[in-house]
Amino acid sequence: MSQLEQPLAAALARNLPTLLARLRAAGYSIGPSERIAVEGLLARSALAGRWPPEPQALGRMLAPVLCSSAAEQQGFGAHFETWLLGLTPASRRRPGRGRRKEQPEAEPGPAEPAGRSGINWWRLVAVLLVVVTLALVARWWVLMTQLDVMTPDSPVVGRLVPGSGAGAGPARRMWLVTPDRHYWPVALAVSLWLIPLYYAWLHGGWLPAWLTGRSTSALPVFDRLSLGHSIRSVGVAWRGLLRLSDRDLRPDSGLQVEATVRATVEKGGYFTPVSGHRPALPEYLALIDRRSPEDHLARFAVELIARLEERGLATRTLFFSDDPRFGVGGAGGLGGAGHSRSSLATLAGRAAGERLLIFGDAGSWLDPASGLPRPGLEALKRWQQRFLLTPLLAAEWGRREQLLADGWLAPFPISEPGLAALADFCATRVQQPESLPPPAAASTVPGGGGRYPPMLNQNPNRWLSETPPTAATTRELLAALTEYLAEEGSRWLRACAVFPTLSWPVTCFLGQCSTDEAGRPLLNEERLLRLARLPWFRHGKMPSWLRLELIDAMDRAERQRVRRSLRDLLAEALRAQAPAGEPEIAQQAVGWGDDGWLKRELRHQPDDSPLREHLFLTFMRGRRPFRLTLAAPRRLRTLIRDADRWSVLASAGLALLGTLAVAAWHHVETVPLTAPDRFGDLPRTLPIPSAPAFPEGMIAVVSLVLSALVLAFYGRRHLSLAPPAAESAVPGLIERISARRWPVLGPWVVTTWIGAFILCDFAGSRSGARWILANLAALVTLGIYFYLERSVHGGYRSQLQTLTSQLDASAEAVPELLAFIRGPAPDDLKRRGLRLLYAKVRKPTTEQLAELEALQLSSSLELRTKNLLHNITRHLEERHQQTLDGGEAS
Amino acid sequence: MSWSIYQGDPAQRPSGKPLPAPVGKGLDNPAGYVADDGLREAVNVALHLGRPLLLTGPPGSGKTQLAASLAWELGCEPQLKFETKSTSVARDLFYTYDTVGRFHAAQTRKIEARETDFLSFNALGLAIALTRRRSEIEGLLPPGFPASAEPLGRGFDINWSPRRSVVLIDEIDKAPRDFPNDLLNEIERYYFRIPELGNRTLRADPSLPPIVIITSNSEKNLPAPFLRRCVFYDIPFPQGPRLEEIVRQRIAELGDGAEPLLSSALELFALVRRDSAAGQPPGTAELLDWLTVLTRRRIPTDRSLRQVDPKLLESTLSTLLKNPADGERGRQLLKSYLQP
Repeated sequence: MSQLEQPLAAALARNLPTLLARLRAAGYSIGPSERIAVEGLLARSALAGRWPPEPQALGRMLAPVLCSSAAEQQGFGAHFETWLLGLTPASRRRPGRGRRKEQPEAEPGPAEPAGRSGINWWRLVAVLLVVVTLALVARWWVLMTQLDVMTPDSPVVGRLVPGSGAGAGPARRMWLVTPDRHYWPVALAVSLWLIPLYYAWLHGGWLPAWLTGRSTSALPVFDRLSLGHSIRSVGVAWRGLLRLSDRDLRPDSGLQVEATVRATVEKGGYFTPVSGHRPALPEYLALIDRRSPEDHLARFAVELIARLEERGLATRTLFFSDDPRFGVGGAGGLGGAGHSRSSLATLAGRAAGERLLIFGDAGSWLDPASGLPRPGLEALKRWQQRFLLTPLLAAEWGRREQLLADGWLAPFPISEPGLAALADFCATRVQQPESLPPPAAASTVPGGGGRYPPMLNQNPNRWLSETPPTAATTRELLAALTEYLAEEGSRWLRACAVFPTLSWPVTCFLGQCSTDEAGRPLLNEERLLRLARLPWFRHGKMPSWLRLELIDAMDRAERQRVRRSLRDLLAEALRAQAPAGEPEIAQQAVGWGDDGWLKRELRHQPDDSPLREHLFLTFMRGRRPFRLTLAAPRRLRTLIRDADRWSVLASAGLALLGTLAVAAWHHVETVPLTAPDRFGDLPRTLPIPSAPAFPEGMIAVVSLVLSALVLAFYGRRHLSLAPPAAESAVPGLIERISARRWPVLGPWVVTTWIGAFILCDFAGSRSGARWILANLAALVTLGIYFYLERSVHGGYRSQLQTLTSQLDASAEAVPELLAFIRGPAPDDLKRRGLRLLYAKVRKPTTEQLAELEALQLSSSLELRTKNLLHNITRHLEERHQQTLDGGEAS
Repeated sequence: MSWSIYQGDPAQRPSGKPLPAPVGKGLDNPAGYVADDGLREAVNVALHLGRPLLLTGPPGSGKTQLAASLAWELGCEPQLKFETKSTSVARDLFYTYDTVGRFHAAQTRKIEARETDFLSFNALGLAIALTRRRSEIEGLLPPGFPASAEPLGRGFDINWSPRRSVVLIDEIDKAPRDFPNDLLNEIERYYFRIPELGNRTLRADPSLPPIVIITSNSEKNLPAPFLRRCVFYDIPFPQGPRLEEIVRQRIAELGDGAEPLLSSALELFALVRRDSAAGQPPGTAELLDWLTVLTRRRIPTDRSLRQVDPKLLESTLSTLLKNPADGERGRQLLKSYLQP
């Protein structure tokens, strides 16, 4: 980068506040002292003859003053470059958006939105097709009105029926153009539409977008934006937190002067040294159970730790997921920046003097089989003070918490009374007690709601699945949630359901915007904690069926309020994306009514952006989300989205040719004349196309299209008669068809019937024979298929029989049975396998239960199978719990 | 000089031969320190602003050596070093008061004992004291000062001229949280009080503030008020040409003509760093140690490592790989590196 121009040197000092403001907004700790220091440095630099400074040198000079961590130093460069761009002449001349293009050498002139330039070819093709169709229809209409009714003297008839009259042979089939049966140009025009419609349907995303609730796994854009004043930090301000910064008494090897003097005097001048304790700030090591990047409970814990840091305490934070024996280093973790894993033993070796705070569930620390703390947790005992902060209220504690309290981890609820109890404990004790009863003060239920819904504890992953439960279960769930969260919390939950993903800043924002009857924001720590416990907030996603239910439960006023809040959020977020130096975007009035700008901005979002999600957009447009909009099964999505587009085009071309051929051939048919007395000796029938020709032709077209589909997507796979090996991931053709038998067989049989009918027709068969032969062909097709299916299924059946006899002997075959259920076997056999699992497995292990839960999220199972799987999994979990509790499984 | 000093043979009788001097001192020579552009600028910023410079970075990136280099270049030797411990308190940075000795003196009725007899200045206290003339602070000086003060020693002028000193506070993150919290005013204004002497204050000459270098391994975060009072720089691990320059400065045998050995050694070093399993890859210090061992083993510098006996190379790996988890992986890596 070249040296700054002289006229801009003065801009440095003038625009310095912009840089500082940008850094402050990005979280840098910039205050008046930093400003003064920077100004002083610039002055010194000028005095030393380094003016105007080289940009790189300027950045190197400012960074040590403005940064206070390695992460800030790393990020400083980007902020500095952007600020500098705003000072250089090239960027001053650059108008328009271009937020994705921050090149300093950008050409002057309006910037095209990235990736959206050029002619829209599909629009052009669609326009041409409309024009051609209209032209053809117009021609047909003109012909219709211009041509006369046929008479025997009509030159048309005379030309095409030579030798008509007495004695002439039977009318021959030939091409005949008649005014009122001018089908072929219309058929051609309609057929031409097949190609783009077909293509657009499969690849253009119109119908799939309409049919599918667009799911996204992308983090919402707001995580990467600084929303400034729009979202305040939660600011957990419990008194217990303040008390956690009370000083500990640590042994001090130095002499206590006053105590020594006193003791010496008391001993008659005999020197009696007294060493004692000195107050010291406690240091904390936090291990946080984080189930997903948007785990709200983990974020809540991070907020708690942040409050401790603000009070000047030294803290370290590590995260774990499910297995707490290993932690992943977060920022400022042991060993410096990075994400190296540290075992508990390693942590204990380096941080045993710190207070250990574990944020999580007691269940993560216990072996499900033995009920004892997991192997490898003995290192915990090296911490003198170790506590488990659990989201469960004390009233909800059970055997697990009691087990842990027995010399391992002292449990406390994450709540204000819980933290207060923890602080009291720390103030009065130094050593970990052998046993600790649940603190009585922590038994209250904060947040004004009821108990946590027990149904959410049974198989939590079930509630994350996109497969909806029964209507009765859904009603029960909603009622339980309303009781748990109370009215205010429920309102907050409903607002959160609108946004496609559950994101911490958005949740806090919505809690802040929504108010209770007294006008206070719904956002408070207790209510947030209640929400954060819910499984959807732990995984950052709510399934569509639940979102629909919650949105439906809103009244009109509530919908408007939520819509308004989200509009504000969108506007703020998109405004924050605009690069510096383009105030015209920031200054535009923003509202959904002024949706031209907003629509343009949303259009720039990537395809997978949560802002393009169907439910969200429908809600924001003021419409009720369409209930039939639901996720298509994976196989259907694969069918319509992942197809090879050239084979799709080829099959569309086939359909077109088929249309032309059939429509042209069936264009001619013998029909009685309308006015036989006017035609004299002419044959009683003339070759004139008849009405049935057109529908037959279209049926043939449809069946050809479907045949092409089947051939394109299934025909390429080989026909397999044996069940695939357990390790094989590719089921054969028969397995694929049997899973969705009738949607595939139906068109196949229809195609075969119609194809046979047409072939017989071409061969000149009589009407009755055509029907019989077509039916026969369809039956033969069905017969062949079922024979093949039986052969393939026979293999799976014998496999299942083998597993049954193995399970009778021992439970070691359970993994094979689970693999069978997971594999490509037909669903009815899978259901048999599930029943077998239920009958044979008396003491299910955690791994088996986890596998069953994972299977529930699979989209390759039929609904019936999934429901059975769900019920069986619930029962097995109950058995598992009984085993843990020491009872016999029923 | 033979490489094998120790034979490990029970039949071997003591030879009585003199042992060679270790090479460690040479590697710490401040004259050979190479600072990157960012570090150089940060030091200059700290000097202009008169603020402490807080350095972080991976182990072996040269945080501690910077202070010695700075003291050497600015003519402020010797550097005054404070090694932070987990039991350090803020007072320890400035002075130590022998309370037991004081009581003992009172017990044995040593009337001639003065309060300052039990006082000894530590790094920053010493640096502050040295900014004043002896006459200004005579009443605060312990007996025998400055000869009695490490590291000044007997050679230090008893009537020194006021001067700036370089103070190194090493590994501050080891200390308890109270340590940096209790230093806020002191490092901002360079003064300290001595309660044992009636709360007397010793303040640095404002025109000669000590040059304070603080290092941290980032094992704990430091309080924000402390960070605001410091100039900060994170030393990145040296790469490519800079690393080569550091090696050439430190190890004389790897000067001109040693490109084949040096480039192949750096290549292998980069592979080992990338592949390190234990989360603590070897640093510059380990690299320098390893290269020193290679030169001491008389490996020709005009040859690549691929032309060296693999067994010999393997025997030197222990200087590079300190973690048992890395040992076997390192051998595998060496083997694959040496294959053509």
